[in-house]
Amino acid sequence: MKILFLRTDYYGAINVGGSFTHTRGFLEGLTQLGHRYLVISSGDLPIEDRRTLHQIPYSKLYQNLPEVLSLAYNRTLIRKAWPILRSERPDFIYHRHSEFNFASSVLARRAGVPLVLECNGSEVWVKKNWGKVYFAKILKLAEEIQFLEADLITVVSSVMKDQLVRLGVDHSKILVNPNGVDPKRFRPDVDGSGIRDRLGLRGKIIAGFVGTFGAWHGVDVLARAIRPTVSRNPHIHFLIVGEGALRGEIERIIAADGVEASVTLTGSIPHDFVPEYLGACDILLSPHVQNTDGSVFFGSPTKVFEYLAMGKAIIASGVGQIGEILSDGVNALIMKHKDHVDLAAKIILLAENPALRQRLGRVARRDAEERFSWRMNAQRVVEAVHKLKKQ
Amino acid sequence: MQEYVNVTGMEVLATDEKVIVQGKKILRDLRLRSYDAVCFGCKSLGLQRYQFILKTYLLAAKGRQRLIVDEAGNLVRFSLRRYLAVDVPMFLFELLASGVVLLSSYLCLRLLRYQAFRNFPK
Repeated sequence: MKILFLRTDYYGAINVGGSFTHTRGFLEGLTQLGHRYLVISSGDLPIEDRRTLHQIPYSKLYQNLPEVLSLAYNRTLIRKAWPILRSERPDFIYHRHSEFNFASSVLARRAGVPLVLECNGSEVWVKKNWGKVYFAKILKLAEEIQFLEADLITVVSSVMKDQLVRLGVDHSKILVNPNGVDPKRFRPDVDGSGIRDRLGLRGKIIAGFVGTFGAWHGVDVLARAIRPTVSRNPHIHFLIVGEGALRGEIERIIAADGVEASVTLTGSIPHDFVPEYLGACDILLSPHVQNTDGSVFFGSPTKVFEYLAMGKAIIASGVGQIGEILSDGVNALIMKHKDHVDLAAKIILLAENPALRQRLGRVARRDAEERFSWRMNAQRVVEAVHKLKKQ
Repeated sequence: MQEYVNVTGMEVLATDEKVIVQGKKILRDLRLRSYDAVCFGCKSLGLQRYQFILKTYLLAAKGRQRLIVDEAGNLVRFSLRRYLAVDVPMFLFELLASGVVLLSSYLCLRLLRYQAFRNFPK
């Protein structure tokens, strides 16, 4: 099969984070299955085969009013993507759903090919809860069109599926497709000693986190856990990899608790370096929290799959899909939601118990290999499209 | 940054695009103290949105040196003449064009919704 992958959100100069890992993983999964793809994106993407990438940038004119640029992009995209679509003749369009974008509905209809919409969250919900919405009616309308016109909607979790069904989406066209990992890149034998040496952490027990510091990542819970952890076991060091909106808040907590010497904040790093950083850690942390409006966390964090594949001991909260993937005492330790004291206690338990770390890590790695590769993620989509075409 | 402006000390205030469009906090920070130089830093000037808004903050800032700089070392020095002669007219044009985009998008979406609900075949 030949797939047109569309990425239409405005991401500027930042192309690291879970969403880019997802994009890259899905495309690599397609390649492993022997399918071909081409990518149309609003900016540069970290993908292996550069020849497949067509960049259609946002207009320079609409740069100063929020949201208008995303609406204006529809027209640009339809005009510039159509000749590519006509010459390449893909079997289906796979679009990563983004705010105000409805171009894929128009393109799919015009080309007479199925539209698969990868929905990682209702943009109406996301803007309302994590951002600010100025043209709510148009945003809702654009999303409604996309949900109506899509032949298949892939979501990362059952929680997300329930949310879409509540919005009126036909449940029969929703495919729950959890995120995944490349188990060849993320392996237990990745050597992290170079990172340990460079950061001066040789001999320490390292508890690590990788992420973009989003509201859902629970990095504030993690920051609060540092003091109770290191006050009981000073050999533990925290390695926090990433950058994002809550960075200032994290630094404030660390400074207020006086634990600067027990933490290393690396800032953002390219995804290619992530395995090495994870390899430097003994314990990996994912203290995710429920959504800010009190609803259940609907994501499928790529970091959790990467942690599993590294074969390390994981401590995570069991919110949303994480609770379906991880089992307490089997492939991870499940911490109490938003409880930094419980997180600290579990970090200390694992730090002082290498046999338990090893046992949890072994099961985690097996789960990553058997259940959660990007290849399987791509396969689930392709199979669903095959089924769709037969109908 | 010290490559571009002649200052002895520096105060870094973290901000992001959500804060930029809301304005109040940045204006408050800028007026809190009198700076010799005010500089907005970004990852890439070519991809940084809201540059007119940033320039408007620079207009409001009282520093003698005012600029926007990116990680590659590209920079835009604030010039009142350029702001009035180029940036303001461009922004007014953007406002006008944005009105057209909003209206045409709304009409297009209504039409698409009608087609989708009437189940027009693909």
